[in-house]
Amino acid sequence: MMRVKIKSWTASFRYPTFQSGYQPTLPVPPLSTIQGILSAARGEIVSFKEIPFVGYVFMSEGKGIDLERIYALGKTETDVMRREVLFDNTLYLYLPDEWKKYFKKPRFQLLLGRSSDIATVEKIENVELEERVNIPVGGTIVPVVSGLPGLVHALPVEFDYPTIPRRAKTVKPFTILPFPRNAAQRRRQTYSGKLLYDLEIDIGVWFYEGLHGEV
Amino acid sequence: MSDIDLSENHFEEKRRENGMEFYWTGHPFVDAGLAAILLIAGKSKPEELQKEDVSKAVDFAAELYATKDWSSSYLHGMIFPNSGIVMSNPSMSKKRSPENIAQNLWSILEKTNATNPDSPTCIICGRKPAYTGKEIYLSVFPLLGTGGVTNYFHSANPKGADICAHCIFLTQFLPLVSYRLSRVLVIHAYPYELMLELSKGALDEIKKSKLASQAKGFRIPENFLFHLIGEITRKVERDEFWENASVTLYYFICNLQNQVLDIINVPNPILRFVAYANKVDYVGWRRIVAMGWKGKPSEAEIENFERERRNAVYSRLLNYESILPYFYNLKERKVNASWNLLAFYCKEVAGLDKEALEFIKSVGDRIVESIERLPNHKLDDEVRSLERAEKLHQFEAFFIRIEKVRQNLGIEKPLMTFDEFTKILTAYGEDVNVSWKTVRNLLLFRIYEKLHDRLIKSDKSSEISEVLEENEYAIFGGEGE
Ligand SMILES: [Zn+2]
Repeated sequence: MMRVKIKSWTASFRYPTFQSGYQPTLPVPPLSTIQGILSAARGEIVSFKEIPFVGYVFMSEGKGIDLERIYALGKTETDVMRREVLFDNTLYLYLPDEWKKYFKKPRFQLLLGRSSDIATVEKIENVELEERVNIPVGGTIVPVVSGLPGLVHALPVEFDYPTIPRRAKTVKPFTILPFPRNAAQRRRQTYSGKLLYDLEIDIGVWFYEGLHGEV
Repeated sequence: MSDIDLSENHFEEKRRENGMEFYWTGHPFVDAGLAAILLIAGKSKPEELQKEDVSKAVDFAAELYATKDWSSSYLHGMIFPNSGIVMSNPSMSKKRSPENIAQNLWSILEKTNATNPDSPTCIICGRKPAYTGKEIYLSVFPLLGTGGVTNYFHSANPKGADICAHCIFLTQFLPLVSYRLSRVLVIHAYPYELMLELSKGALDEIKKSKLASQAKGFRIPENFLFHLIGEITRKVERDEFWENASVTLYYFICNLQNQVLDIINVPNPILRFVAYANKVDYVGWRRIVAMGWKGKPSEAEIENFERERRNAVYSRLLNYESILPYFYNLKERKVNASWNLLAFYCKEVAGLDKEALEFIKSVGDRIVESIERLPNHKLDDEVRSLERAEKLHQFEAFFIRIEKVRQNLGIEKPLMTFDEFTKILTAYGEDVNVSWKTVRNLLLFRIYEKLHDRLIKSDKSSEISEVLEENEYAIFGGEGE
């Protein structure tokens, strides 16, 4: 399989329903953001249905709050709101080899959140991940049934785009696991089942396969 | 590949003949509403809910929501501004009655399975068609945008958010398990059994006073949570209660002028540590927490401080910053808690491994064994040089001093081997939580634990001179942190 390393200065991943006055960011992107990145790279809307497997690991060096002026559509009045932003971010995407060509020359600008959160491809590599048990996982979201402790929230998996406004196709509760910061956190985020392990980044990767739009 | 197949339906939908069908969604506000209904029914699983249970919850909520106390300052002022459903809209005051509110609630619920092929899927539960009876803005669901700024929504959706009747209905019960501090506190937890446990207190208080729960007078959400953890832990026998718990606090206000939200995720290691501390060394834990307030509170003041003031220990824990210096009192040269609690903290929060901890403890014991033979004033000098070590070379110099002490006293074995010496200075420097300063703090803890009585005596007997001149360290070089 291949691994693509994507970097960005800023990132923001909105909670699906907190959108007035203050917009917090999720600590890691939901699957729907990954869908967006894949779609931008290929140049057309991608559904997970078409992708045999996908996994990702996200890391961020910090976060802060930005003030942003919002123009109300069709009105002259503006509003200032606070938006949480993640800084100095890295996203590793694990995909089948045929995705190399899209990330070598992405069709549209890759984004880690909104249109200002511009991202670039830093490296595309072939990787061999090793299957292991009892390894830590993080920088990603996992199904709540995994039993791992984190931030539980309902998140969109995939959007359907033919309509305006776009519609959520699949939504499920997930546990959001930040990239572990120390040995204690790694221990708490250790999954007892089988996972593929990325030796270089020293983390287990949670793969979603055969999503088939159903999750 | 991950061996949980997401396509398996982990909810196991149970359709009921009476049409009552509820489920957890993972959304804090919707789940809070469901928790309220379950708690009122005295049940723990959504699939057990019967129509009578829902009826009971609707009547209970409608009765309260129709009162002035709830309607204007709480519902309208903090959660559902101008709501037509719970009738917090001030213009509805004449028509506002328990019956009318109950009727509104039922009429939402009835729409749950309304099938409109055109309806998008709910963005919260992903299972039901979005409610189309009215635009879904913040008066219906807290912290959504308003119709005035439609561009908050996807493609400026003029209908607001795609949320289904099930999720809207449940959210109307959120105030029954929320705590009213300066803002509204919703505690979202998983497993859901834990969520029920953490929300129960709010409903109990509401039942008694008919007023919104005041969270026992707490004004700061994390202080309240840590207080609850203590209470529950001392009550619940099972050790594994917090084992894989996920807890997040949503602390918000939603009215027409102001929408604010703080999301405080409490990392699992912190939950387990606070629970352990309450169980194993409650008195020690209280002393640690007491040091986290500015203006040291007296025993009698602690309760008030707890309710009203931010605590550095709590903030540091939530931000993954070290609280090791709070385990002892540098001024009085005594420890606040047991080695047990310290060890748990080091292992489960700071991430120091067991061997490292044992090794540092043994070095601490060897230091104690060396310096306890010294006369009081000399003893004091040595400990002071460790207390004052703010730079790595000063820390090195401390060990060399102790080695000299051992030679002078004629102790045959050296304090440490060369390997041990390098290990203690360099092996713990990678992580911000586990640096040589961690080691220094642990050593001081051990020394205070063993030698407190003597250190206090010597403290009184002699005013300590500036023991060491800065240049005395110079020979050992090294500036590093
Ligand atoms: Zn729903």
